[in-house]
Amino acid sequence: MSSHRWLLRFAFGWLALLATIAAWAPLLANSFPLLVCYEEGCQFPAFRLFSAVDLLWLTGWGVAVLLWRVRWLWTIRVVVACVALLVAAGIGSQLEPPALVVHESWRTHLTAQPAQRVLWAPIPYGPRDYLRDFGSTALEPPLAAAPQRWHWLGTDDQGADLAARLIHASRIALSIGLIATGVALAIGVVVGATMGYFAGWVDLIGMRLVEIFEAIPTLFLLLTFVAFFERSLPLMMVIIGLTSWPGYARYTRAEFLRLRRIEFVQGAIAAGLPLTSILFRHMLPNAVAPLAVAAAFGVASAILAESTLSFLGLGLVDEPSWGQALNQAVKAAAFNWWLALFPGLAILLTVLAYNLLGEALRDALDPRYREGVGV
Amino acid sequence: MTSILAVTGLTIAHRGVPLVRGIDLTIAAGETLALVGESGSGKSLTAQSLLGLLPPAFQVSGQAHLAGVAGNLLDPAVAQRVRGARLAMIFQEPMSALNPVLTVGEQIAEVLAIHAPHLSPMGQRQRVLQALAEVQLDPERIAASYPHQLSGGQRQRAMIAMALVAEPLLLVADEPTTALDVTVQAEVLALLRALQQRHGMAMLFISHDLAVVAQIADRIAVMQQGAIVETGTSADLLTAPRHPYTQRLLAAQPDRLPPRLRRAPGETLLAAHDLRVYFPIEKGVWRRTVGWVRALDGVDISVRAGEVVAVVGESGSGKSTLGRTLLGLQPLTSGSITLFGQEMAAVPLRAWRPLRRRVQVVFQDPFASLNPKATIGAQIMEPLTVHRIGASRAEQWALAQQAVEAMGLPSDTLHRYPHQFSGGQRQRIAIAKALALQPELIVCDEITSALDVTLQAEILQRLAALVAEQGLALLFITHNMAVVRYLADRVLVLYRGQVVEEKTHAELFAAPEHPYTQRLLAAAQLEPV
Amino acid sequence: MIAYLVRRLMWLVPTLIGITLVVFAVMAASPGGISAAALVEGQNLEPEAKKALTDYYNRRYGLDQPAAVQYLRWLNQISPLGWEPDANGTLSGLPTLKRPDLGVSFRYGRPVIELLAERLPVTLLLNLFSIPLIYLGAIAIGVRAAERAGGRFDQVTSLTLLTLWSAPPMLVGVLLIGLFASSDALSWFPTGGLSQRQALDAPFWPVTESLTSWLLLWLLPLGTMAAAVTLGRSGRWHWGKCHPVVSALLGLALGLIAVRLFVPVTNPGFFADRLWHLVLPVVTLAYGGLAFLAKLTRATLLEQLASDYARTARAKGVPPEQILWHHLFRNALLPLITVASSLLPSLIAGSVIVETLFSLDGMGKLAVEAVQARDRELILALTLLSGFLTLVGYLLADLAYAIADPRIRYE
Repeated sequence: MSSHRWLLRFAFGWLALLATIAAWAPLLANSFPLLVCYEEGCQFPAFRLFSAVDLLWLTGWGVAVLLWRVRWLWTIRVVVACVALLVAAGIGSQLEPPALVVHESWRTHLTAQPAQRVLWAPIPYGPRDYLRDFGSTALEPPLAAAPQRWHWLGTDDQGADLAARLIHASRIALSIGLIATGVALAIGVVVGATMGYFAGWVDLIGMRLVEIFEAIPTLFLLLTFVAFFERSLPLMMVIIGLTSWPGYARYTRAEFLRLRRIEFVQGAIAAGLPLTSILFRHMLPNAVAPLAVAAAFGVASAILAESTLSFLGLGLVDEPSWGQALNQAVKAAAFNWWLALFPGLAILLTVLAYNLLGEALRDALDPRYREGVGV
Repeated sequence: MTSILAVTGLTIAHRGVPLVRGIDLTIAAGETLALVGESGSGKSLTAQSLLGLLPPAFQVSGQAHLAGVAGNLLDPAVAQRVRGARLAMIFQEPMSALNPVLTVGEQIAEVLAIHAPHLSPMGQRQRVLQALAEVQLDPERIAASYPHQLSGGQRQRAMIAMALVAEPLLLVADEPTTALDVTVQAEVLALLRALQQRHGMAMLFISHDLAVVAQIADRIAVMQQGAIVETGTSADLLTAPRHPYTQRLLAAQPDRLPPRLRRAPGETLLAAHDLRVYFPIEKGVWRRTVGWVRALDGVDISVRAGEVVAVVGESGSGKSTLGRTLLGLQPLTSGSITLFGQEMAAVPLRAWRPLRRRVQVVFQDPFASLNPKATIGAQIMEPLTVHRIGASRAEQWALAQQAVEAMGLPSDTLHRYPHQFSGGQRQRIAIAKALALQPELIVCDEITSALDVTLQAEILQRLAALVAEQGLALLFITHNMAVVRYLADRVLVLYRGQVVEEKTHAELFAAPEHPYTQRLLAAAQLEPV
Repeated sequence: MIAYLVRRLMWLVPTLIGITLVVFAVMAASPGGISAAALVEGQNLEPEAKKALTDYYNRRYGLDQPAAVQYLRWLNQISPLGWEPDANGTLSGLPTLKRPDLGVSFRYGRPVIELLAERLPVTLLLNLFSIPLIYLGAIAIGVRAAERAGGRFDQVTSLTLLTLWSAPPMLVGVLLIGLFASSDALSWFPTGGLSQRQALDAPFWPVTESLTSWLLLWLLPLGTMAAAVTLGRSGRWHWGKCHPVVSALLGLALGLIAVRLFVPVTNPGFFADRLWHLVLPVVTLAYGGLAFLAKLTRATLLEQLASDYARTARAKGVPPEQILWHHLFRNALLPLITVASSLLPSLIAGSVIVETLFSLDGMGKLAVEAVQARDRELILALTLLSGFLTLVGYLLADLAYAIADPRIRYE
């Protein structure tokens, strides 16, 4: 169906857009100007604030764009990507962004001493810029303060520009989704493959473990984790991953149990092929299909999980997050629609994109449903 | 003779691609017309189109008239009225063709509820029990059973009962015995013949097996690639076929193949003594072992170089378990296996490795025999690398190429993936893969059962040549007695895990001793030598 | 089948222990662990006062003992067969039958079991309304979409369902409140809570002035239901034939709306008020599950449509409607039941958000509060309870599956 193709294009398009926004975030929303030129010379204040993470994001984005177009072997692409990221990490470790940032500094500086040329970021406010120099800017609807200040999406309850916060929050959403799913996949595949291949009592014990983890209400475990441990980004990624591995373990186990009995695997054993070859060349590539589908949906649910935690006030403290913005929408007495709509839309579109990907993968791998049969 | 069914110009296309072109058929009352063809000939499509069962993606055109029914049968509205009442169909796979969540009795009664609504529930029940009795099933018990509780033969009989309960004029049978054991097949065919005579019903019998068709058909129509190439009475067609394709089909029947060259056997490659494989039956809360399934119950077998040993049995005989056990894929409960002089029974799987090159296996299902995610070349070359055959990659590639070309495959096969090949070609690839290692013994587990008869003939003849020229030994597992007669030097008949008869091929076909063997031979209905 | 069920029941207790063990391990492994110090440090007290409080907690709840001991003591506490502690908290003698004790909450200072008894009914109420809604809605939409796969209904619902499934409950809840419950927009529903103040004293059923109003109150919904069913069966309207159950429910909803708008009522009564408060929370809780299940129903049904036994049924001349409901649906139910087992845990999780949004004092909200206060007793008890409910859900689903599938029933 042509609508399927449309939707898939939307999914890829939105995710590509999001990745671009996340990579370029410090240059899209920053309280410091990108370029300031006086008679003596030019400065690039925004770039002073670059940290290693920013550099890694930009490098990653650049490498992805480059390797998408170039027709090299997959192994070469992976090597190039790793090298580029290592170099970026090396350079990044040399960067020393200032620990304390006074967001108003350049604004006041430029009003006092106007420069010849100034180039601001498209959104001239950083995510943590609470606009103290403008007085109380909290909870303003979009464009309410125009033409003095242009807040396209309004401000949050601390006075920061909502668009800036949402842009920077996209990094968290993307990275948590992918890394949490990666962790869950790693654990799930290893456990599942072991259970499926060796069966017997390994399988028995493994299944009890899987059942226990599955029966724990996920949100409960997450709540317990975040309440008792400090809330850092890497920890959150690992925690969300730790709560979702049972599903992948089940799929992998089911596939391995099926493949163990299938003729070409029996033939491989009968031909005397080594165990590693049987596991990695014969069984694993054929077990990937349901895992890929589950992973796409898994990323979507990881993003939802993080948003839920932030919404409940249990997410990351200092970093901006989409769920946190949603939380602010309900805290106040009046209904601040922009605090609900824009972050909510961001979450919705991202989750929708991953779900569409998952559906497309599932249809591609299981073509039975394509033709309508009629009753 | 009035004709019950008259079909003219039946054409079936799928998204513009014609699959069946211009079929003309007539069936007279009380007559059985067999529609014979290999896979892809369009015979099943033809049968399904007569009942309007094809999905909307298929475009059906032409004329079909059923006696006593106004209008074109190919018109969906007409078909909907007539299906189940005047025209009934039975299918190949009785397990999946019956609804697993309803009892057999309910499913048969449904036909009556729709086509004989005047009957009271009591009357319906009577008719259902009657129908089941007619197909020689225990009426009360079977009516209350679910499909999974019945054997394959019982399910097919239940399907026949379901089809006949509304007294149709024409029964369309789409390969109804293909999935059944040989002995059961013979019974079901006899049943169909008896029922047909009793009810005066016409039958359209679809099959790929000329041997089966010979037992049941009055007239035969041969289909090739969507068109009927020859029609004639059974007697005429089978003794003096006119069309070259029909002639080829007949010549490919295993019992019409020229006898193969036999040689004196060499040393013993494989010997197994008192082989037992028992599977535990676990029941109850604590999964206590309450009994054992005796898959193999004291089997002695030996295979010598240059010899073909056939293992014959039906489902449940343990023949597949035997094949797997002899390869070390299935641990045995007790007994001994001596492979190339080494005792293998208590030995861990790793120790089999050095011997693996010398014994290979080919399985029945061509679609599961190859790794979908690797190229053919990679799959053939990997065992070569593991067993250090061929000094360099180039040499291994040449060996692989030789192997596939010897099996009649195109030269670019090694670069392609399995899904690009048909079932028959995949089986050739599987055999090439086994032969590339130049083994001394190959275990063939029903390798031709899923293939067309012409491909089967080709493969059998190729294997026979290898046995004669190179002294290859084969352990050939099959249920097809005609293939056994052509190929085997010695025959073991397996029944419920035990060898009930072991003879040379000549002795077995001349004078079978055990009643089960006699039943097998009677069911196969081979022509006397 | 009995053996199968007994085996499943036997695994219940070890699994529950496993669940609580995992949660306990998380708490114990965290920095600060489950010690009195962690509970006390946030408070602004003199050092002596802190020490006294710490000692009190340690003595009362045994928080100075190693984690493993704490867990075992807790297990002993909740088990009906164990040791009774004496005044100092030490255990001795032989195990006896005793009353299971879920402990006292740190945060509230009340017995946990009281808190649970208060909060559980709210969550159960939400879930009990959601589950039938999810299933009926999903089946109605899914079957319709599968019947006319590729048609307009299917395409429209496909995208809508996917979007609904992707929409975070926070967004949907907040939007529903903002659109339908706030004073700025439509004010059809209340913003939160379970009942109005007055409703708690009001009579159960609505009170009307005149007899005609009373009759109208009861007959109007019945009338709309009947009309909807007849209209659905005749298929004379835009969307063709409709299954009687679906049209009955739609008719009922229409009738209730009509009653709300047109029938004058002096006092809505407790029941109506409660229902009114439940509409938005239930919708927020149920929409995600409905979307998921509807898609699954459609996919399963399409699979069944292509099966061999469906072909046999067609060959027998069974009319399409009967094939759909008598044959296909019975088989499609099986995977749906399997999925049902995961529905309950997701609903319990969903309750957390819904209860927070709509200020309903249920188990979910209690869980958030417990976790924020690092309340060991409460967290463990809640984990036990929701774990138990989840496992019971699995068991019920397995039971239903075993009944529905004769292949399992006669194992």
